[in-house]
Amino acid sequence: MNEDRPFGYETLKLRAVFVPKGNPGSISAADITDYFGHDVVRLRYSWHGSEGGGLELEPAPDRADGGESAAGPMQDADDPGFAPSGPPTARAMPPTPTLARAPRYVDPVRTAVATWRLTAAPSASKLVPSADRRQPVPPPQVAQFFENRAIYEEMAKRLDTDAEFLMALSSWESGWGDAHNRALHNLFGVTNHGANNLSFASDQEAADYWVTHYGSYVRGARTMDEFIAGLRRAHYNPHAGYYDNVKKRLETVRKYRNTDRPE
Amino acid sequence: MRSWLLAILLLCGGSYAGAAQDYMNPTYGYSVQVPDGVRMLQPASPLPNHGITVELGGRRNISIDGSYDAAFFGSAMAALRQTLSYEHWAGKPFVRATRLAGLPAARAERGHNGRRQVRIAAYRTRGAEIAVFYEIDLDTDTTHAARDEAVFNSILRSFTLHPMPR
Repeated sequence: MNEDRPFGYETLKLRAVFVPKGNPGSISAADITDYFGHDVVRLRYSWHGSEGGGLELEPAPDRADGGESAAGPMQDADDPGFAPSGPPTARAMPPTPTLARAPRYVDPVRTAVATWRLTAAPSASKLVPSADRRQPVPPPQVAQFFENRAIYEEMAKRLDTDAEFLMALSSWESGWGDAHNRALHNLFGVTNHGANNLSFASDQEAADYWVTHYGSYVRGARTMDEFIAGLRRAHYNPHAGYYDNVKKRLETVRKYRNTDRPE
Repeated sequence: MRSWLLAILLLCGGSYAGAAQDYMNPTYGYSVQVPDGVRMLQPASPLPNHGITVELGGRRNISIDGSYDAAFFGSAMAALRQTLSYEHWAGKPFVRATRLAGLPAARAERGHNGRRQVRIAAYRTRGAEIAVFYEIDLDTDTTHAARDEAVFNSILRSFTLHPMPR
């Protein structure tokens, strides 16, 4: 799926298909409702089926039965509960390959299908069905990296952007906070005139330093593409492949992002 | 007369003979020698410094980069194939295993739309610490391919590993 946020903060009617991969027979529509506590949520991000999870989403057909059609995206603009707020809502989320191949989704494991009107706001990181919260086991340094989540979230707040964009960059630049960068509190691999990495008194100081020097380039970035464009404007790296590598790290961050959040 | 002039031009401007410039990257633990007469680009301080881009003229360049394997590619071949897929290398690159400074490495090359591109990816494990991979890219046109590839190969030969900071 698109890793940007094609739906921004708009309200969309979506159908979610929960496939408990490797965990057959353990989920039902009731599980899903229980998980959210209600059937009204708002998307903050576009959604990803995490590699270890089983969340797949597609725009809902204009019917309430959670129909099985893999028809293209549909916006229920006539519905009073649906309030599109801008052009991004017009972007189509492609049907998942599975659904495209199987208009009537029949799976050897139990599959729950439900339709929501999405208007409330749980964090996107919680959008993993309860029966499938098992996380991929992260390498040890990744788990440690996520202990700094609050610092990235605070940076993101100051820069009006997404903490996970900053974490994607930081993971690439610090090697998920390898021993060397951890010792230096160097979250972003910044250097002393291109030579040795700089040393900071604390992780927070490193974060402040980065915000001061480069924050203006990424301020207000709503998508990873916008964030990367900001890095390009800062001439962050002359190596052509650099930006693709950083951009792709968002997927890795999202793959492991719940590792420090117990159920 | 014209052939003499051409020979002199080729000798003077057709190669990067002469002293080499050393480039050392302490963060990712490697160094290379770059021929004199070409321009090396580096990010401005205090930006992270993964490597250099060597300008060969026009849209021709050689890029040398070291990075942590934050993607957990796990091998040189996987790193090569993944990064090529990110960059949507059109055409079908020829890929084979090789070595770089004793490291396991993979090499991809292709000719496409008048361009000649080569990428070497090498993989350096570090025990419990996250691995590092190196990428050395040549992007040139077919007209200058032979000459630029000679520079590329000289850089590959000069590639030397150094201890990484702990």
